[in-house]
Amino acid sequence: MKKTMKTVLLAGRGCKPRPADVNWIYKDSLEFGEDFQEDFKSLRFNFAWNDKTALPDSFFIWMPKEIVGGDIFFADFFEDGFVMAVIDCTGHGVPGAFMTMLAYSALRRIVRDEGCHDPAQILKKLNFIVKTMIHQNSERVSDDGMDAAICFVSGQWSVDNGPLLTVHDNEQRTADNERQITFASAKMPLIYVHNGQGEVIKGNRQSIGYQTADLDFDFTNHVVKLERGMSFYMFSDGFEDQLGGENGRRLGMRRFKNLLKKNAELPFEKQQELLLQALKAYRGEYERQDDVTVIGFGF
Amino acid sequence: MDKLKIEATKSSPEISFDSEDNLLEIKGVSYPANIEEVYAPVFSWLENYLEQLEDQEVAVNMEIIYFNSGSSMIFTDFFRKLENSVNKGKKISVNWIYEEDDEDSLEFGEDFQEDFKSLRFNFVQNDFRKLDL
Repeated sequence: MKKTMKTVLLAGRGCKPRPADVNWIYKDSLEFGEDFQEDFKSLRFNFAWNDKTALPDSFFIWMPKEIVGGDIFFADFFEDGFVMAVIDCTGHGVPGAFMTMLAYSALRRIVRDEGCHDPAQILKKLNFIVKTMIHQNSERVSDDGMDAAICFVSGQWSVDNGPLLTVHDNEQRTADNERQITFASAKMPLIYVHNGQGEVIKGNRQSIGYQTADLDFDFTNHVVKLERGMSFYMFSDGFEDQLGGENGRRLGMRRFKNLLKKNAELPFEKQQELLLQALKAYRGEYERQDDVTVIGFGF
Repeated sequence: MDKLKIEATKSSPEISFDSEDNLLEIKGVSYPANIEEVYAPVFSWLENYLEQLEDQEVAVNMEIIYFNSGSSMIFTDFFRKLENSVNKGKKISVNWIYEEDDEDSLEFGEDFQEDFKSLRFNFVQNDFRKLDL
């Protein structure tokens, strides 16, 4: 059955998704539910703790507030580079969990099956699938959706042979092997640190999948040329939104950015440790309000 | 019509809507798990209020330390309803109150202003330490 569906999908590659395709996602989501957690763990393992893999210089913080979380991350590697995504779904409990599965499944389909590696395009397709999927029944009262950040890092990649993704020095660089990161997002910023400067790319102020989401909206791609020593951070709003400190205020974007900037030169493992320490110290006796996801990687 | 008064909880704001003073205040944090339940009475009160409203000046004080994305959708609905009334000639303005130095909060308010251009937003700095929160 799956094979047949795959054929249908391949035939439609490059086309706008149609409602018929969306039903496939629905089935896929349900089947996928069982494997979801396991898949997720192995992805995490591959990334963070297996030093033979693509991004030895990276960390992942993924802390759902409860067992079922609304944050997910996603990564997939190809010959021409890799796609990485962080998604923050609204909704909680079963609807929330369903949203994350839908998001993950839709991403997998767009990126892996359809071969779409363009972040702005991925978001547009994701918007279509999610919105069509969850608002098929217009009687639904609640309005769920998600914020998302997607990046594509160009460069050669081999799962078998480890990291081929290297950033060349200027003199070695040619037009062919120049590495760059392309970033697009729906209400989720990217921060990168280079030479002690922290830059924030804010992305578009357009969420995905809500009833009010505009299906024709074109997201913006931001391109940054990779240079040695750059560090990139993708994250949901859970970290910066944490209440705490003396007055129960949000930790805030400025504090978060400064934290990243201050530690950006350190090994990523150490950065992770320091971020978690800082979060805990800030939170004090306050409760965690949200899932916290932060991904850091550098070259 | 009756006043609407909802006490703050750990994850939801204090809501106090007064039809005599024409003052609508939402104050605190907003990330309740049962978000629709929390805000349902707010919207039904608002609907009745806007229906009977004539040409009085209405002030909406928004003093939100933190709101999650679900609450953001709620506030979007809230402002949309206010803006619709403004477009019908009602005199409503929003005071977006934020703590000094909290540029994120200011930015959230400015984002709402951008979405609801005919609803007037005043950005007001406040020192939260003086407030009884």
